[in-house]
Amino acid sequence: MGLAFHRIRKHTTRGDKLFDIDEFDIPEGACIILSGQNGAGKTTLLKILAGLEAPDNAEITFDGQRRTWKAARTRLRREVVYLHQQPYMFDHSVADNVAYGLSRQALPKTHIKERVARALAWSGLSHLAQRNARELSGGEQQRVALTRARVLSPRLLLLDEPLANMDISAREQTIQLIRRLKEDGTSTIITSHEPHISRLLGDQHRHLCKTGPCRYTIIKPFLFQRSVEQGVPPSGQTTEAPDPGNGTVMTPQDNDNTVTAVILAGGMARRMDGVDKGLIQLNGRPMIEYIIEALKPQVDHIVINANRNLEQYRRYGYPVVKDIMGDYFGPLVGMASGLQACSSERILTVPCDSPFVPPRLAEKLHAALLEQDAELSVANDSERMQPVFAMLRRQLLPSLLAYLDAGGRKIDTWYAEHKTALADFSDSPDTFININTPEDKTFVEGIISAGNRTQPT
Amino acid sequence: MSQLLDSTREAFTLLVTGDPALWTIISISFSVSLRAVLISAPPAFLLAFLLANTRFRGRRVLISTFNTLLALPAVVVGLTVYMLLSRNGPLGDLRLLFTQTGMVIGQIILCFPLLVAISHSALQAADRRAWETAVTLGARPWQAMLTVMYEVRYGLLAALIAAFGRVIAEVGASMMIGGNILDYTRNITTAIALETSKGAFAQGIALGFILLLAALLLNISLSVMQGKGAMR
Repeated sequence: MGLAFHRIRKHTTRGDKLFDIDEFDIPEGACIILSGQNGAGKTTLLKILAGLEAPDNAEITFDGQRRTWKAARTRLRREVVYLHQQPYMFDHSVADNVAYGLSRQALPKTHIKERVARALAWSGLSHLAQRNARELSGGEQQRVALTRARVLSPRLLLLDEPLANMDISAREQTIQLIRRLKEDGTSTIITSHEPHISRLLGDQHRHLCKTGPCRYTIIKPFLFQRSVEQGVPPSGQTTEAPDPGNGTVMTPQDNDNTVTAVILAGGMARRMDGVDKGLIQLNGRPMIEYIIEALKPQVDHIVINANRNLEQYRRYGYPVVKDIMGDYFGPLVGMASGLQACSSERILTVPCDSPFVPPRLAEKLHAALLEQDAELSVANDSERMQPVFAMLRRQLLPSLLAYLDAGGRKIDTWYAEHKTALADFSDSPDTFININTPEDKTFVEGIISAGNRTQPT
Repeated sequence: MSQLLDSTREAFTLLVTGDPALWTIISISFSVSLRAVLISAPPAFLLAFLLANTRFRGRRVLISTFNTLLALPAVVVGLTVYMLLSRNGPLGDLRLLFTQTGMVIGQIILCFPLLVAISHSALQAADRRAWETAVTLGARPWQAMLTVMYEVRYGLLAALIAAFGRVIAEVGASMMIGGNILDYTRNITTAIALETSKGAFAQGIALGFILLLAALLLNISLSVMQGKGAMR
C-alpha cells in the first residue's frame, strides 16, 4: 500500500500563496516530523491530508490509483485521523468518546464495547472510562484522543503539536503512546516546534519552509536517525548501525561516521563586481581547484554549494548543490544546503575565497569538537574566529533550518545558540587569507608563485 | 376593586376544582403550540446548521430575512393564512380554516424564524473542532451534524423554549385562523379575549394566570439552559 499526495496548492484567504508542494509521499509505517514556522501552513496541510479542508488543488494516490482531492475526500476522512492541538472532547464519557468512530459504523454493540475496553486498557485509561471526558486534564484528554483514533486503526494519523502545553509527566506519557502507535505500524505525521522531537519520535523530518515571499514548500526530506533511548531497543526499520567492531554500542547518530566538506561558493561577491569567486583565476587555475586539492586528503566526501555557473563546478566530479532557499541569503543557507545534500554525521565548511586551506583543518576541528563535546567547532586564529571554517554536527540541521526560516541570517548569532568549540589555529593565521578585492588577488598570486602555497609566512 | 378581588377568588376556585371547560381550553392551547414547535424544529435546525456551516449565495440575505421575520406580528400571519385558507383562497380546498391544523400552520409560521435565528447563533458559536473531530473519526456529514447539535443542545433547547413561549401567548393568528370554536379551537388567549368582552372576568383571570405561570416556568428553564450552555 502507498499513500502519496501530489501538487498540493493552497492560497490564503487574502489570495497569497500559502504553500505549493509537488510531492508528499507517506511511506507505510513512517513517522514524519513536519516542522515550520508559525503561519507556514502546517495545520492547513494536515487538514488537507485529512480531507477536512479543501485545497486549491491536490491529487492523491491511494494504492496506486490517482484521483483528485475531491474524489478522494470521503476516503481520506475515513482512513486518516487528524488530532487537534487541543483535542476536542465530546460531552460524553471517556468510553463513549473512544467509541465514537466505531458507533458511527453501525457495528454490533458488544463488539464496540469489547474494542473500546481493549483500547482503553492499551492506553491505561480504563480507570477513567466512565468519567466525563471534559473533566479530564489536558494530558489525559490528549491520551483519550490518541486512543479514540487508534481504535479505528487508521491508515494515517496526523498529530498537530501533540506535546504543546503539557507538563513533563503528561508529555512523557504522550510520547510513550505515540511510540507504541508507531510500533503498531501506523503511519504518522507529527507537527512540532520542538527541535528534539525528531530524535524522540521521527524517522523522517520535513520542513515546511518559506522559500520566498509567502510561498512555502517541502524541502527534500532527509533521514533522521533515531536515537536509542536507554533500555529501548531500536525498532525495525531504521538502518542498522554498522558494527564499530570494538564492542561498544554506538548510537545510530554515528551511523555514517564520515566527514563531508562543503565548499561555500554560493555567494554574490558584491565587493568583486559580482564575479563568481570560486572561479577566479589565480595564476591560471580557478581558485576552487586549490581548495579541492587541499581538502581531498582531509575528508571523505566533497560537496560544492554554488548558485551560478553550475556546469563549470560540476566538472570537478563532485555533487553541486544550490541554495535550498532564498536569494543569496549567505553562508548559513549554504551550510544547510550542504547538510541536506549529504548523509555524513559531520560537515566541514570552507569558503571558496580562501585558497590556503590549512592542511590539518578537518583534524583539528574534529578534535576540538570531540574534546569539548560541542555541537560545532570553529577555527580561531590568533586574532579572531573564522566562522566559515567550521565543523557542524548533523543534529544541528533542524535548528539551522528553524533559524533561517525565522528570518535569521547572521552566522554568529546562530552559533551563539549552540555549544561551540574553538580550534586553535594561531600558528597559521595567514592560511585564512581571503580574497575580497583585486589587490588581495594580486597579493595571493604573489605568494602562490613564490611556491609557498600551503604554508605562507 | 372588589370586583377584581372577587373574580380572582373565583378564578382560583375554577382552577383548583378542575373545571372541565377551563382545562379543555388549556389543553388545546398546549397541544396546538407544542405541535407547531415540534414540527418546525427539525427543518429550522437543519437550515440553521447550513446557514452556520456552509457558504452559499444569498446566505446573508436569508439570515437577515429570518431576523426580520422575528418581528412578524401575529395578526398579519393570521390575516395571511386566513386569506390563503378561506374558501376563495388558493388553499381553500384543503378545508383547513377554523381547524386546529390551521392554527398549527399559523403558529409554525410564527415560530420558524425564531427557531432559525436562535439556533443559528448557537450553532454558529459551536466549536469548529467538534465537526472536524466527528468527520475525521469517520462520521458521515449528517452524523457529524447531529453530533454538533448534541454538543450545543442547550442552545437548541433555549430556541425551542423561546419559540414555544412565543406561540403559546399569541392571540392574533389563533383567533383569525381558529375562529375560537368552543372545545375545538378555543385556546387560552382567544378564550381570555372572549370572556373579557363578555364581562366574565373570572375565567379570563384564571386563564391569564395559567399563561403567566407557563411564562415563568419557561423563563426559568431558559435561563437554566443558557447558564448550562455558557458553562461548557
